[in-house]
Amino acid sequence: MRRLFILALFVGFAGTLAGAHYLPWVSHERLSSQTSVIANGGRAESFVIRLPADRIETVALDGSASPAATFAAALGAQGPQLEHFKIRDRTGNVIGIATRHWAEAADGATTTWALVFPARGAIVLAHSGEARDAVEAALQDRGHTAGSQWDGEVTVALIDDAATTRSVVGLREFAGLDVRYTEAWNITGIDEQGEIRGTIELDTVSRRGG
Amino acid sequence: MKYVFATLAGILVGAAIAVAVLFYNPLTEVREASAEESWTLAYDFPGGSTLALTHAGQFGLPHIPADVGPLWEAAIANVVLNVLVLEDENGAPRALASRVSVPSQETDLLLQGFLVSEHWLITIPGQGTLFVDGENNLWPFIKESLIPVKYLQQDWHGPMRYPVTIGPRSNRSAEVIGVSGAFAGSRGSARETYDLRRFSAALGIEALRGTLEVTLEENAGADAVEAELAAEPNTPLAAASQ
Repeated sequence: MRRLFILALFVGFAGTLAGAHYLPWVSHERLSSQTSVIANGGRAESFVIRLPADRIETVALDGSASPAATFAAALGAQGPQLEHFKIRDRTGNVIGIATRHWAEAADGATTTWALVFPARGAIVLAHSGEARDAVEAALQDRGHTAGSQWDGEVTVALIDDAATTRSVVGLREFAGLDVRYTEAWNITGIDEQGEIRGTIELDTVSRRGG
Repeated sequence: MKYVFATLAGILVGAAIAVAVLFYNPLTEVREASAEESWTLAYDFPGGSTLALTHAGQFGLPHIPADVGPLWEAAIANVVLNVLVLEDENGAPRALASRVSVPSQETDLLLQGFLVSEHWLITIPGQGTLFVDGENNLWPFIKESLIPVKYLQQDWHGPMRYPVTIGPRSNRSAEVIGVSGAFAGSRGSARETYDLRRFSAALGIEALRGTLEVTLEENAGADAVEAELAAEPNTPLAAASQ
């Protein structure tokens, strides 16, 4: 009986430690990657953001609830623009979180996208940033005025030449890939609060050697 | 019958010893290391510095702003998104950061701890943008604060300090990659520390001061930024934000 107890004790001890080591304590829902192989090599994948549903709201930096309203005042019109979205694959399933920072520095403006896919990894992409408020300017050209509702269709190609973009880093599944992208905002309307309806499409092409 | 009892008792005692080993396992401890020439960006969590905080709702954290949509979709249900204003060492706001935290599939409670992948995109207005890829070990926080207070109803013996970064760099620091502006092309490392100041069973983390120590390597532009950030708050931007 004593031997049985000691044997069981060993089994309990080893089993618990083995569980701590080998059990998959974290797993993320993995959907099939909607990729296709392109003719001259590489892998194409499109990501879609549906507005307004996929926009993740933040406290306005210069708003009354902001933790740094004085900071916003100091930055004035020179402040960076931060946007956050849920990001979908081509079939419309949410697969990750996208962060977009537009910022000016001494060498000009830069747009940086960080796309995080929990089951797959992350990629950071960058491009010489568009002019400040480029989307708003395009809408004004189509007759939209601030504070008013607008319906119509306009495509703003913020980046239409993928060769001008660069891949900053890829993690896990994206490690070692050179990822280039185009960015288009397809806008179908704006409500009185300035909320955009439409989609943002990021079309990427990945090749080995990033 | 007594054999069954002896077997069960043996397994339970063995499992209890194993749990004790996991709790006091030195392999999952995180030792504090200090970078020599670094600058610090700090934030208060969960409020204080937060422009947005959203998740699926299972972490006992607030949603900021209150009407922000939760991350309920299956593929992102484990993610926490935190948008922060980061302060320099003098307490002046200096940077805006988006932080996406994802529990890591590399989690190993025996050899590593409970790991969370941290993806930071940090923009310092007028100076540029950095990406930080970190691996944090939250196991010391979980076993010393969360489990005793939240689940065993014990008193919290704080404040507590948790140096959490353990990778992915070989020197157990996070990877910093310069994206634009003065940081373009630069690389470096970062270490994050949590100073947990208030914690309760009812509210969980009530007050936490997080600090990110950033060290950049061999980049003249980045050196200039480091010098400015390390200086007294008399730069135009810092002065204006006081």
